[in-house]
Amino acid sequence: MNALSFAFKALWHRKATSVFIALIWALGLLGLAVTSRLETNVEAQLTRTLEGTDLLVVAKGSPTQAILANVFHVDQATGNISRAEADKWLSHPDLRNVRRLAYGDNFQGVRILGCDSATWNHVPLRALEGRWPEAALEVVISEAVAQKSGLQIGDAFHGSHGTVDDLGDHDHHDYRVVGIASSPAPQWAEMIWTPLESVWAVHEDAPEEYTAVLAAIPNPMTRLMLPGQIQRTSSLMAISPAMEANRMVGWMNQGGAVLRLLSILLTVIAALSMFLLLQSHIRERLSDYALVRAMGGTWGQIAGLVLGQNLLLALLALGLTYMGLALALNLSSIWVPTGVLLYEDLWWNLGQDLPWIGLTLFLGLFAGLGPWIWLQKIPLHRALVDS
Amino acid sequence: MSHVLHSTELTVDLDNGKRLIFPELHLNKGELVLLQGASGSGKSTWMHAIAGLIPLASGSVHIEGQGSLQSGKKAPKQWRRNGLSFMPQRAFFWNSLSLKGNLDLAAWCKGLHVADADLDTLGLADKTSQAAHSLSLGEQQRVSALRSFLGNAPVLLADEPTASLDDSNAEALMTLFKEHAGDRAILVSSHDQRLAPFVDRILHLA
Repeated sequence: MNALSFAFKALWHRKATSVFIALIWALGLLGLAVTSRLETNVEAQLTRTLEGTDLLVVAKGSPTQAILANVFHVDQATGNISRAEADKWLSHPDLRNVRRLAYGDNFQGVRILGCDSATWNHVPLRALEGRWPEAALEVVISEAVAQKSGLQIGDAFHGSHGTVDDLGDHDHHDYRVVGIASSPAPQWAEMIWTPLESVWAVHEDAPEEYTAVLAAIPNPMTRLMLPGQIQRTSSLMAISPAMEANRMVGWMNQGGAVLRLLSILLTVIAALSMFLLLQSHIRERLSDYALVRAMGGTWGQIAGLVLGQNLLLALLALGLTYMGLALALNLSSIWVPTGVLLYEDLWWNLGQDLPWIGLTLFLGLFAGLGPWIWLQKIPLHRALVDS
Repeated sequence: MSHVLHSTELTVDLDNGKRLIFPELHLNKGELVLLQGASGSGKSTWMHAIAGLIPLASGSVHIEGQGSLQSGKKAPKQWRRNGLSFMPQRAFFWNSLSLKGNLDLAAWCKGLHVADADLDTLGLADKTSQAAHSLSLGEQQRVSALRSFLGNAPVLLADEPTASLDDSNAEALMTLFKEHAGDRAILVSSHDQRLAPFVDRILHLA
């Protein structure tokens, strides 16, 4: 037998209180862990999604909305831009991997994205059944859309006006499915790709327009200068997505700070509860510890018994925290906003946890120090006689 | 007989400012000694002083081979571990531990790897996994005595061990002490007149 086994039995003897305190503590730790993981994951997702996109040209409006709509495909576009005006800039010699988008209509609420081959070549693929479109009104649907709608390769459908499903049908233009694509990237989970020409053909009365143009700019000086130049000399809005992403991460971190503060509060409350629990346990069972001294136990052994209880509580809280993290990851589809992807490698990167694991163990031991020191000031003979 | 324990000029200052002065004490190996005195005469305080549980105002206690406990100085490191065993008036078992667990705790306190207490001799072998406080009072005190034999310290101080026991349990406990007095000195404090027939010597504290 050793100090930890005696400490464990002392905790087990009052298991309801012990588990309750460990739970409060775990909730605080879980808040801290989930906040930092969400920040890391969203930041990584922004970085990974924005890779290869140094310039976004759109109609004037909110830059954040423009990024959400044209990169993450989760918001309404800021408007359309003139094809002729945009094309003038697309011949810039420093632009690479130019992708042109024209929002079309929708099918059962799923966006029909008019785009060029550069766009679908940019889509990370798990699998592609069939082929990418080669002519107007051919479409590739994502795997989720295929499952939801039951559409197969060779099937035809017609889209509805706009990006919602209740504005009337283009029943005289049928799209034909030529491929089903499966992509691990969440922004491409529910999507219908079609050539730009499809969108222009369906809206034959409207001028040919883009919704957005995306491009990579390998030259750092051009990357810095070109957005401003486009802004100044045209009616277009040019955005550097990386800079906007930094701003978005900054906002997110502010939101995270509130959650983090609440989590720290919970953790402090748990540490305080643990201190009070131990203190009241020792007061109540003072004779137990006096007996240990009377039987020849050293103050070091008593420290083992007292601090051991808190150490075990801290370990229990950590265990519960990781169980909570596993549960949160498994249930992420329920609580994580659409379009946000949790990366398992980042979720289980335990290196990021070392500071708060250290803090937890420190708090546990620190909360035990007070009762242990108090115990040393109690006259042993009184504890044995008065009890 | 050789003196196992020798205390001289022992005095203790109480919280109420009163000073207790204790007579010289010799304990010999193999001896079971009864310390008698009225309630409040200071029997327990004397026991606690010898055990190093209460600071000495003056005087010293020497245990053969274990060094000396002196006023103004800390008790020798192994004083209660190897030098003497102290059996408090109540058993003070840990509620969270079984009977065996409590014996293991005592062994751990004394730096022993295992508690080699023979519960068979008390007829408690089948109760080792029971909560110690579920035993009868007589059984608890006998287990407490067995616990204080762990480590074979040369001196055992038992503070009012029969205070709450009926005749048969008091007799069983004193018999147990008698059986284990062979290689140690045992000092039992009590105002219990029933104990006199079991002991080798009686000391009176006025």
